Amino acid sequence: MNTDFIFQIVWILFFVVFMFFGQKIQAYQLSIWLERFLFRLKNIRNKMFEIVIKYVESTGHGEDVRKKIEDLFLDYVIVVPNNLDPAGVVNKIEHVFDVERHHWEQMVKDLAPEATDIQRKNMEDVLQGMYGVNFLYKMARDFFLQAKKTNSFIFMIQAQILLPQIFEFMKTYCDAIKSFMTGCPIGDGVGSAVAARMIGKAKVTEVAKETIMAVVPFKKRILHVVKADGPAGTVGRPDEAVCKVVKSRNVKIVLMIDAGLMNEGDKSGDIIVGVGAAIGGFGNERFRIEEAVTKYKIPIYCWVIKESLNDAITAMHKEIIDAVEPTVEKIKRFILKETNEGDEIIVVGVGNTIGVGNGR
Amino acid sequence: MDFIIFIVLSFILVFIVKLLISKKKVEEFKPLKLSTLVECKSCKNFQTRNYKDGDYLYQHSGECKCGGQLWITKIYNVEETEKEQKWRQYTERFAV
Repeated sequence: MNTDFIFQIVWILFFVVFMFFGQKIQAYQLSIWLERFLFRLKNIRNKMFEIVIKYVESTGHGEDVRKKIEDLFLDYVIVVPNNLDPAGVVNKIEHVFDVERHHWEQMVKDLAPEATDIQRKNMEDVLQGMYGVNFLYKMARDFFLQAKKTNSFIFMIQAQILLPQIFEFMKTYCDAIKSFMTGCPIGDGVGSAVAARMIGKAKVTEVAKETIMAVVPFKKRILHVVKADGPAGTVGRPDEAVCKVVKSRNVKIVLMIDAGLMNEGDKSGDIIVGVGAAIGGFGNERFRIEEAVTKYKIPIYCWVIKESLNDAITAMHKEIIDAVEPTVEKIKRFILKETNEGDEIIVVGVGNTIGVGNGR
Repeated sequence: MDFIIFIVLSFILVFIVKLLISKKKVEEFKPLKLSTLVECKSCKNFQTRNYKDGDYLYQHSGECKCGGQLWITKIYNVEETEKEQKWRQYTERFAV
């Protein structure tokens, strides 16, 4: 037998094997890649968990921190109210979220008895971030194990598409946790920063839970500036504040400032103006504000400062904080143009106010 | 022909060895690099320093040389990875 003949046989064998088992081989190859990737995610999750435990132990001096976090905070579920009959579902959603907030507060109090109020609020955000990291890891694990169990090439490809995206989300959440631990402002707080800048030296009062308001005179007009109570990590209840002011005062217009997600390629920190209630979340807060302004026929405008998801939940970048002053100037110009002397205006700075004071 | 077989087998061998010895990627968590900008509203003088625990926006930060009050007006992340920088520069080409 000469070499040519052997090579031909090898080649035919190679061809036949790949024709019948090509997909299986590719699936096996993919499963090795996915397994390695999943270990990488597991490593990130475990490292972050250790960092969080150290942070909670050093801040709150509580007992059984590891066990409490594992039992109470990592696997947590909110059952959103049923909406088969949508009438009154907003009240139900609000109620469920109020209970959730109260429950988290109590759990964190128990976890970190010696922490200050600000530290506890920041810790809530840290633990929610850790919940996110853990959830994402479990999601990735589910995708991989489903694919491995069925040994399906299609499932493997699906997992291959999703795992790198999950990895990016996990990295963002880890950066967010680091930001919450330091207590510095995050990108989402740009609305709060604008409101704080507008409050200036005015006196602030608590208008709703974890929400403050200041009455600021401006060119013979009255501004009711609302924001979450800083510098602790909270979003407050701006909807409650707006409803209260709208009911009790003769409001001419409502202005809202919030961070908004940008498209890839947009410039971070760009300011855009629009109409409507700019507020995220589940939708119940937006519903309340829309209901109130519609009832009294009050025009509502919004300013949205563009940023990526990564920018929104991690330490504020320079281009975002640099957008505060221009936004304040634009709002002031708008107020002068659209309102008359003696008018009352509500200005709402929406967003997590971690690391942002209540004016100066 | 022997030469071709040798090359093909070499490639396969290199691939297998690479697969076996490739190191696992391990993520590192670097601390944040934050800057705080302290500004005097009277003389418009400002200085940038490293972020300290407890700093927050619009916090009173002592007295200026001119006698005015110093306030923290900016806190921001100064870190931009090489990858982020390259991506930003690339996307700027499509700006309108």
